[in-house]
Amino acid sequence: MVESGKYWIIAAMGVAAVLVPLSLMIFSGMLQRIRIRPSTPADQEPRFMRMTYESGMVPTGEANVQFNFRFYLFALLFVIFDVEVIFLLPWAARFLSLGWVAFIGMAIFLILVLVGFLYEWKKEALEWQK
Amino acid sequence: MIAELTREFLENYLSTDLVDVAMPLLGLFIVVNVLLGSAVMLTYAERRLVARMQNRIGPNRVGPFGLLQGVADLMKLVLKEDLTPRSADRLVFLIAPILFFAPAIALFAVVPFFDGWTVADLDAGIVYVIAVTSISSLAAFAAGWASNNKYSLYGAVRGVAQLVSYEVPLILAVTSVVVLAGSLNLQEIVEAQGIPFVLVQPLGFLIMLIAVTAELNRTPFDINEAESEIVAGFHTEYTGTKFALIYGAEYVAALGWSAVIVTLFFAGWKPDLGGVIWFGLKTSAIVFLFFWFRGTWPRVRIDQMLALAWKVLFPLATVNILVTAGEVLAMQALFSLEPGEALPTAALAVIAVINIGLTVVTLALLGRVPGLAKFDKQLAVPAEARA
Repeated sequence: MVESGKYWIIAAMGVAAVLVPLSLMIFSGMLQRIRIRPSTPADQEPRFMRMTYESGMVPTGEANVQFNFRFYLFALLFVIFDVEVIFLLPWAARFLSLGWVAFIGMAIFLILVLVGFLYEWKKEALEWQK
Repeated sequence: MIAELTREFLENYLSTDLVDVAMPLLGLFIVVNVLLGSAVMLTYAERRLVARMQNRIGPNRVGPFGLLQGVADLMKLVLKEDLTPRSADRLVFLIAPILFFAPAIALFAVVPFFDGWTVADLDAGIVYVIAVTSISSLAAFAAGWASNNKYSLYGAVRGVAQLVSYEVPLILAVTSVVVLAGSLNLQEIVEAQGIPFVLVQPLGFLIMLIAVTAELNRTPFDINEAESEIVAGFHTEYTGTKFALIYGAEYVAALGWSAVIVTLFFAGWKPDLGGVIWFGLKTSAIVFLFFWFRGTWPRVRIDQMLALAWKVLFPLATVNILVTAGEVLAMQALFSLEPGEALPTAALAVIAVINIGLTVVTLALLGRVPGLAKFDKQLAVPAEARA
């Protein structure tokens, strides 16, 4: 068990986790400095070298366009149920000592959530094609 | 035991305070290095195993049996010219691979490798796992958006819809384990497993396995990098070192999730047979399962995939929590346990028998549920064909 004040090891893990990919990129960059890794000077670049890939054609238009609303709907659903989970986890962690009252309370809550969920289903919020 | 020997060795040279700092750092160093090594080897292992399943030979030229293939690939990728599309958002394009790789490694901070040893034995270990892994969906979206490529953007948006959808059943499946173990600490969850929770929670395990496959973007849920329709999805524009990072991160993440599954459902390091070997074997078996899925199943469509998450896995997982909680209360009455007392193995065995029965009945009846039958029929006709 981590005593308080020893959470620094989590921070250290985070730093290590960022350093590993970063150092690989820096290493690769250094290889370019000593001319092991090739790099094309900007003025000698072929015309299509830094274009995005679009099946070998010159890309038409921007990619940052307005997007399908259906994906947004699923993100909204996710937020609702993620909040539900925040309520569930502490309850679950202490359930062994809570007994019947907690069970009934959570059952009522989950049934309410499920009724809302069934309503969404009925309203075809979960259908990809309406 | 090795930990104690190392500690004694270090105490010859350093003060006790410094050793307290040095020991976790040493553990961290070993874990990160083992991870990177395994990720390189896993790329080879997957190619070799999937080749076998497809009646091919697979890479066998570099080193004995092609064992050095991963190293050769890594060297090749690091030595490649770094290409950033001119229209890309340079900063986000650069950060995304790091953001993709970092959570996969950070996940291992709380995994219990053997009795009493983790990098950081957090009390809220499960919450840490969920929090850290959800960063990767952000990274996938950042990568796809920054590329300014239509295929990338499409892959990224699909990826986010998929990852957030499967996160809900995943957390709910984990919650049912937490109810049984009475703790969010991964080490304590391992200790609570008198019998492996895969027997006590078979339905929870199936939900978790499916959800993790989706979280990892692995076949049959790899629609956000489906090569036959959107080139390579969110990492279409990535080359060289950045591609190596994204590719490697997927294997580190596969390893991490497998370790979490083993911890939650296969009793982690128990039974204690000499250090980390037993845990490693179980984790490898789960990783192999993911490779096996890839060799077996075709890819699903996005509407099928989201429907599976919301219409099947989510209700099942919610009901599963309530059933589990009810069973725990019944066992407390049956074995006349004090409130807060951990469930004895006998109680777990009774729950296991009930739950295995319930799971078999549920899976048998799943195809006959009226709402789901409709969902089945819809799937039979492709959306494009109907439109």
